[in-house]
Amino acid sequence: MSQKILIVEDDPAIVVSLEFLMGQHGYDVRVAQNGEDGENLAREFRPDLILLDVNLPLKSGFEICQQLRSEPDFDRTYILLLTAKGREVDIEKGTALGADAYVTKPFSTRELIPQVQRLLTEPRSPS
Amino acid sequence: MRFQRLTGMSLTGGLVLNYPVISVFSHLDFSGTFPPLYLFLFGVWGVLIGLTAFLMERHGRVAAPPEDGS
Amino acid sequence: MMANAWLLLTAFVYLALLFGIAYRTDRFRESGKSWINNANVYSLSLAVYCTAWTFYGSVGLAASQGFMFLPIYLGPTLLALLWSGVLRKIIRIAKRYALTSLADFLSVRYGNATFLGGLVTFVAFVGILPYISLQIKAIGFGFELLVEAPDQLSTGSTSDSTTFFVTLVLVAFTILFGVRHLDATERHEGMVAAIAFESLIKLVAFLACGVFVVYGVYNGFADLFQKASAFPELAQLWTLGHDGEYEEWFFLNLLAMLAILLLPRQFQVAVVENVNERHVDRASWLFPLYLLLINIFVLPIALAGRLEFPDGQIDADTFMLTLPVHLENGWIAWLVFLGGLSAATSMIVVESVALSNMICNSLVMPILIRIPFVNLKEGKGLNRVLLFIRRASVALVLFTSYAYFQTVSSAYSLVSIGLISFLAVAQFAPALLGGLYWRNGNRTGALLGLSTGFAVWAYTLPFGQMIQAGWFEASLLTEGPGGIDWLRPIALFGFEGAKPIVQATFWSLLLNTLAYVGGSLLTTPSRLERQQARLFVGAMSFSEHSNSLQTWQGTATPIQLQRLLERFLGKDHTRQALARYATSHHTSFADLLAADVAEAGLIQHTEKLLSGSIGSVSARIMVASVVEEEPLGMDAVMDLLDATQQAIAYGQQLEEKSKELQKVTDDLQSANLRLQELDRLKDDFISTITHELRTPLTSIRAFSEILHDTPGLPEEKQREFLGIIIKESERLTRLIGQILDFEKLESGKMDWNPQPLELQALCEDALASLGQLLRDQQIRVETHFPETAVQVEGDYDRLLQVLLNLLSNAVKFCPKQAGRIEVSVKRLEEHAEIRVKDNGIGIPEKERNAVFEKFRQVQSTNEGKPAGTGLGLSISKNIVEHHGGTIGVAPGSEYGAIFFFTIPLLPETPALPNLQGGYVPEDPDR
Repeated sequence: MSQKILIVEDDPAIVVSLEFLMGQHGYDVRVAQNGEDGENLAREFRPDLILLDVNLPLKSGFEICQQLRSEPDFDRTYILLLTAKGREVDIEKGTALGADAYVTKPFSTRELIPQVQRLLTEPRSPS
Repeated sequence: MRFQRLTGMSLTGGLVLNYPVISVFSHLDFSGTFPPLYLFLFGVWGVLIGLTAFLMERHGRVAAPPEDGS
Repeated sequence: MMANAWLLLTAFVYLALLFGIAYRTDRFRESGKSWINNANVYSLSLAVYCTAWTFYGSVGLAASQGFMFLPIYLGPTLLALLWSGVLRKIIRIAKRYALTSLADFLSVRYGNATFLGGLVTFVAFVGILPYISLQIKAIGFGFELLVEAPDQLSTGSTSDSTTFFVTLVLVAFTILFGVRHLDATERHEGMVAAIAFESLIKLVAFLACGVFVVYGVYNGFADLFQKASAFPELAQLWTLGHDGEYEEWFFLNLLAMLAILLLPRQFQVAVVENVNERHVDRASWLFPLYLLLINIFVLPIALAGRLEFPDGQIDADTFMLTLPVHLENGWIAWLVFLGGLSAATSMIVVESVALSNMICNSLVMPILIRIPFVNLKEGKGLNRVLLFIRRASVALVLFTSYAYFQTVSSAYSLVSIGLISFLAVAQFAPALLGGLYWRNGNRTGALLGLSTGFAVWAYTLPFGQMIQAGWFEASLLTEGPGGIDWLRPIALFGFEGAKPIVQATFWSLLLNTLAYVGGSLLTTPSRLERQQARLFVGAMSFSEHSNSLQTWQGTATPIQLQRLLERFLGKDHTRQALARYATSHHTSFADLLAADVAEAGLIQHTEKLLSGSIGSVSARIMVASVVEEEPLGMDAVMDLLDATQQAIAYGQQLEEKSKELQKVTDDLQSANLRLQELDRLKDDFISTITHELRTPLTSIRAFSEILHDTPGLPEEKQREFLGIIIKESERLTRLIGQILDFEKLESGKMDWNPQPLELQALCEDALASLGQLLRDQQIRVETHFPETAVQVEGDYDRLLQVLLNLLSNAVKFCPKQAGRIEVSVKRLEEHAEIRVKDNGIGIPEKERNAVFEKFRQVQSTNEGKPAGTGLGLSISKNIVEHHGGTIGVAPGSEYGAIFFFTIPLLPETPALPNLQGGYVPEDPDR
């Protein structure tokens, strides 16, 4: 069975592109357009990997990340933060909150896909 | 002290050598050599001079250093 | 009687003898010794007080008024008792400051008061003239009496030629005697020795004459008084009490007390010529003794004269001469003539020297020294100029006295003439005694007192005499000037019945003293005056031998001082004076001059030497011209105080500065906080901008790569993806445009195109351009417009931008499917107002102003994040304000947000009442 990826992103154009890319590479993809929806969908969908935008309406990517990491159910879930804010502090903050990777917009699809594939082929040890 | 005495003498002399004291001696009659006022005026005058001389010269001999050579 | 030639010869031999004594004394002094440094000589020299007035006049007065001659000698005796206090104080001060005359003394006491010194000189000069004229008269009649028969000289008047000749000889004699050369210390030892000798001659002559009369003619005093007592008019001469005599007695005592201190010649011999302060003690009894002795025979001689010349044809003033002549004793007559000559010449010489000193030092020099072109500092042979001034002064004094004698005083008795002078110099008393004992006495008081006293004196005595001499209307005396009774010179202010001298003494001294005290109390003296007052009043606390002047703090070379001295003293005298100084300081003349810098003592000595020649005030100016001085007097102390005050003031300034600094620091701190805030805002802004730019860029890049990397993508997908790329590119372009707009507005580079426009049309255009979006979002739009066009002037594009910004914000915050927007236009008094109302989440009250700040974004959003750069509202605010309007968020709406902005109306637009706009659904498609 194919691995599951959840996309939480508010910009519709980016959502379209990510959905297309992940689907093209054979992942089972679900999409949420704001923070609250994203968190709820995550519990329901149980994705293997979440592409999480930081700057989201209603609940920020950082909050969702922190929340999910505190729940044992998501021990094995990879979280990949997407942000347009490329500052060092933001990267450090995300890593400290338990994100597995941090991707700065505008990202290259030619790098994002291998990064996702690598994460999902590695055996995930509970943190 | 000396100057106070001299001041006292000067004031006393001024009083004695003026009216009304001198009017006591101002009369025409006289017995002896001099008229009374003549005797009185020169007498008081002489006494004043004598007292001053006494004060000055005694003081001079006792306290003052010898005078500069002349 | 005596041959004219014999008498002349005698007189000239006698004068030559005096000159010889003086000459020998001066010579003796140059060898370093002094004949006159002796208390007895000092006392005898003081007897210069006894002039022809004493010698002839006393007898003359006694012959008519008995003992009334005596107060003139009792007064000095009473004062002499106080000399060890008063006179010694004056001497100590005079030596300390090298003061050489009364004028000098008073001008220095009252703070270098040059004018006061001049006034004193003038008063002394005018006041003494009658006195000197008296001496001329006495010598003249003495001379004529012995040449011609006494009974032919009943009036004692003399011919013009004799007195003029006498005056000429006196001028020459005085100049030879007293002004032969300039003495650096203004001391004339030769002159003093000569007048001491003359005093002896006076006394011997008077006593000889008395003894001759009392014992040669009569059988002693008893016999004389007995014979006189036979005549009631003679016997009453030894009583007092007639016709206000007691009060006159008192005033004459007072006058004589003051005169012994204040007569210029007495000041000269008692103060200036004093060698040793201690001599005063001896003099305070020896001088009164001299006075007593010379007065013993006055009344007897007067009585004898009255007895011998019962018909009253002989002037009693001449009894001293006429008696021996009448009784045919030529030797006594000759002795008396010499005594009278001594009395007159000694007075004339000393008085003239004292006056010429005052005239030169206190009148002429202060003027010369202030005239720039005279330039005394550079002048050469100044000692000759000074000598000339002094000699001319002597001639002036004597010839003026002669003129006075000729015009006024020849008709008066010797004593009545002399008393005029006594009262004149008595006017110095308040200023001098006040100056010695009253610290608050000041210059104004001294000037007021002296001028007042002098004016009263001049009016009551010389003026009164001139009236009697026929110079003015006699009615001035009997009725007063202009008929004002109380202004009569002989009964001033209604003082009736007293002799002129009594009421003149009373009024002049009273008013003088009142003016002095009043003037002193009512005015504030200068710093220098206060300093001098302190030094003079406290003079007895100085050491007797410390004769230091005010200390000089500056420097000068000995050569400079020598040159200065030479200009005033001449080469020889300067050399002598400096050599003496060198000897007394155990060094040689050459070494003294070789020093690089003159010691302070030499500078002081120079000032002292100069003081003798040109007066202390002028001397100080002269020395100061050479010495580069930094005086450490009261001035310096005051300067120090000033400096302290400046320091205090400076400290206050510093305090203010530090306060200002603190304020600036506070300002800087708050500015810094503000900058930090701005920096943070800028960071956030850049972060936001970056975010906003990166978001469309991310899509564009992602789709571009997908299109490129995915071969065989269906054409439908390709078109969709390319469409997204185009849309996001447009978004990116819009963002960049906004950023550029904002930069232009901020820096004022925006191009404005103002034009008249209609607000309704503007709103329609804006809504039309947003029509597709509104339809997509299913937002209902209401408009409320006035029926008439609302005209404003503005930039169409910019105002449209504002309106679009407000509308798109409203759209953004409106709830989906249920959004409602109201747009209204209203006329206010001078502005038009446009409102945009939505039914979104609204804006919290505290953020209603903040939303217009640049870089701000409204944070809390209900649905969907705030899109945009945070620049839209800031740009709108800027545009509206540029048009002269305001923009804001209206308060108090129960739902949604109400944004409004105003634009000034065009003037010609008629102001119509507001009309309620109808409910007009904007979108007919809905």
